[in-house]
Amino acid sequence: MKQAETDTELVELALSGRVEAFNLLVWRWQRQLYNFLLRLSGDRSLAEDLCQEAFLRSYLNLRELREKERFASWLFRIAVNLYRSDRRRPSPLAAAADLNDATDSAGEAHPMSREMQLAIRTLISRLRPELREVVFLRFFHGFQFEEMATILDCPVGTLKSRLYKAVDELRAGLARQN
Amino acid sequence: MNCSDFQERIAERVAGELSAEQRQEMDAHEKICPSCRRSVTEWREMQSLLLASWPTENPPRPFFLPNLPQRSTWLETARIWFAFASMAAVTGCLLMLAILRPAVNFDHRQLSINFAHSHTGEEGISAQTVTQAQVQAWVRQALEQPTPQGAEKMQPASGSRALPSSEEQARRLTQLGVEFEILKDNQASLWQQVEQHGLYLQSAWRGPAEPSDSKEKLNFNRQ
Repeated sequence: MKQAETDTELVELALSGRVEAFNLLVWRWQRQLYNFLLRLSGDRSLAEDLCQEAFLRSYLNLRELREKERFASWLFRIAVNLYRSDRRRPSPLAAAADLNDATDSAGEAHPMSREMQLAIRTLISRLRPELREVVFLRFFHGFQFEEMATILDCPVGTLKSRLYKAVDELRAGLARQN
Repeated sequence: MNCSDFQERIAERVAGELSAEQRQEMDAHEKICPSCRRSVTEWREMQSLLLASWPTENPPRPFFLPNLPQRSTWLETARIWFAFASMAAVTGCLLMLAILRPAVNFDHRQLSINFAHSHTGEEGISAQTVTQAQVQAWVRQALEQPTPQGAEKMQPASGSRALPSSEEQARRLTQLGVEFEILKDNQASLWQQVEQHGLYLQSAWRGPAEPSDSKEKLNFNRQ
């Protein structure tokens, strides 16, 4: 299997019964999805469970995916719905306070101090849930507004307004701390 | 483009989501507007701060699905053929039932099934169908014969079989014996009823004083 195959091609291969094609999609998106759920929930165990569940559901319902090129958006939408319906959601502040990931995956210490990290995370965690979702999807995972509209089932205009509002609140919070 | 339009698209500009035409317009505005230029810089700084505050980490384990064995094509074909064969078999059974029209009789805990067209005359007397009405008619006919009550009373109570009083009665008794044999061979479902009638018949011949011998007589007939 070629490395450069697109999500659409992999979805079509998976639909023809090739589980390894779907596993390639999993490999491609697992880091993004896990970190998105981790930032939302702040609980590694919960993020892992939800991530596994999202992949499983996406595999079982793959035939329902109309626009195959939008697999990632569809997958994240499943994950968001799972997170919203899960009753084990811990407090966002708990997620912000968890600084065990102060080093990135390459094992290098990040230039930002722990105090600064904690401050910014606390600011994010104090945002309303719908603003936090937009911030994570846009700044941390690089989704475009059209994709975010699919994931959050919301018009693009609303998402833009939420993003600007979140940025304003974060900026104001940082200004207060400085 | 004015500042308001620029601010509305600042997120797309930072993310590089604009078309070539839109990008040119924003570039032109950015050159002449220091405020909007500062907004772009602040937006980029905010993005960098956020990313630095929450680094991405690897999941604790991979989420791969098990590589399930694929269904073989021949197995799928066999499954479809088996489904069709099952349907054909059921349809065939239903057709046979419609053609043969079996008469199912559950009488006295015995199940008997008679097929309307399954018997032919070539099978002889053993294959003849004996109906319950026939048996009742035979018994009724036997009961209508005069019973030698007086002579029976004079018989000793030793359990010996009552002798018929006339040649006609002997003939009838023989006929009943043959008919009971036919019933025993072919119509087991009706046997219990025949047995009841036989008991009554024999008790009538022997009289009410010797009911215990009736069963013995019956057993004799069934052997």
